[in-house]
Amino acid sequence: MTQTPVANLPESAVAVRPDQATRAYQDFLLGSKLFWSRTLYRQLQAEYEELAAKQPLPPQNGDEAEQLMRPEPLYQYFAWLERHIQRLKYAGPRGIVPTVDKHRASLTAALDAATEEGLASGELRLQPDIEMPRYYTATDYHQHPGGVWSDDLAGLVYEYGRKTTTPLHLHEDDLHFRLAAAVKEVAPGVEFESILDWGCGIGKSTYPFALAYPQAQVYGVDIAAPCLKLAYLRTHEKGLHIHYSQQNIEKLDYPDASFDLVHSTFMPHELPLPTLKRATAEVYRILKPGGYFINLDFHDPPGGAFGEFIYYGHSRRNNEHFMRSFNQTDFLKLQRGLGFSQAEMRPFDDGTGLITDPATVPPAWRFPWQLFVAQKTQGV
Amino acid sequence: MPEQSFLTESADYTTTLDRLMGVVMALAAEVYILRDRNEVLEAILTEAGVLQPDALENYQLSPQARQTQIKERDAFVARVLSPILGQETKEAQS
Repeated sequence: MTQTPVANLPESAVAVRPDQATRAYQDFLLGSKLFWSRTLYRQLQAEYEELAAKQPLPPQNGDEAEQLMRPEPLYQYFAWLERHIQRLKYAGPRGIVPTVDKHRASLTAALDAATEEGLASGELRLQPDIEMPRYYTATDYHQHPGGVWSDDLAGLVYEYGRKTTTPLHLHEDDLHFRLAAAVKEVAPGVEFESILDWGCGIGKSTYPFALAYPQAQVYGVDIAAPCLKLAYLRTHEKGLHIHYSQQNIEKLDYPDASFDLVHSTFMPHELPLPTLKRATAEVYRILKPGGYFINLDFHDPPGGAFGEFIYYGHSRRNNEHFMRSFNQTDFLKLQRGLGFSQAEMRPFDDGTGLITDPATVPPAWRFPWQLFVAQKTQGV
Repeated sequence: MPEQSFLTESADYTTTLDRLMGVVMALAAEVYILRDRNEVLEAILTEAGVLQPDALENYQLSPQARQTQIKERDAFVARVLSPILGQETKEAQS
């Protein structure tokens, strides 16, 4: 396991503090999610294979698999649990949102104080009048009520929820350290001077790069102010310095050729295709010649029609509306078309010891992790 | 043999669902009674000096006890959700 050297900080004044009953409620949901992701998932796969084998023509894609499985009670419960465990985690009677609401006044005051500091130091830049794109406001991503942008404390809610998004990981930040380690393998010995976390959210994916490249100027950009405020606070608590700014990634205010590395985590699959194209072109503009664009995201779910059925079902049930269109997009071709060279997709071990193998249905529900690596052509 | 199904047999199974709602309410009421009894028990224990105020709220399991709790949680969830797998009914038919 990779190291998370700043994991043992004193507890922050700005944190979700659930009571005993809420902890038990959330623990029950987590246990249910694990049962769903292992036992129910495996049984669903077994039933699918049994049914598919009886068809004159087995399902050829995810939609046909869905059609076959739709009447099955097991699938109906699988789908119900996938949607509602996540909904309850956030919005249930002892969900994260009502828990944060209980301490709203004190949490807001503490976060506001940190925000003032951040703005004064120049390490946090906000645009209160920024216009939110329609694709972003039209749905509550991940069933987070109001999304991560509309409520002042949404970053805090996301941070708490994120702890159980990938419950099999040993440490919730481990994944982000793995990405930093993977980047070091892509560009061995290269000391980047300027690094941007593209869609940095609450900064969990940003600070490992500040530690891995201590000489670099590290930046994070996101459109959601509540996340950036928390990102600044958490970075400050760790004694690190990162420049966070609120911008729409389709039009960034960084000058041409500003960065040696632009990286992201769970980002392209959140974007509609026209936005992805414009935003990727913008990344190309702000990269230095020879600079890297590295995305950790999901693509090519393994296991044929069954894998696609599970993945597209997740996209629908968890309000991940562009997960499907991103999966159907040849992102490597898109990047090459914009001038990137050497665009490729590499396997990535998320810490479970597994990689996304096209031929193998994973033994438990798993995101199809992929590492996208592209480079801006030298001498442009 | 196909699994026997009963609750959607009726042409208008909304009535069945309405009655199921009645069962859910009855269970909720029983849970409430248990909660009430727990609260009274905590109050009596606190008044008798056996429990410190907030002792339950602040109690932290040892790492070892937490591991046991996780195992018991997973077993509890499996007992509650296993009927979804349809295995009991399949066994009954075989």
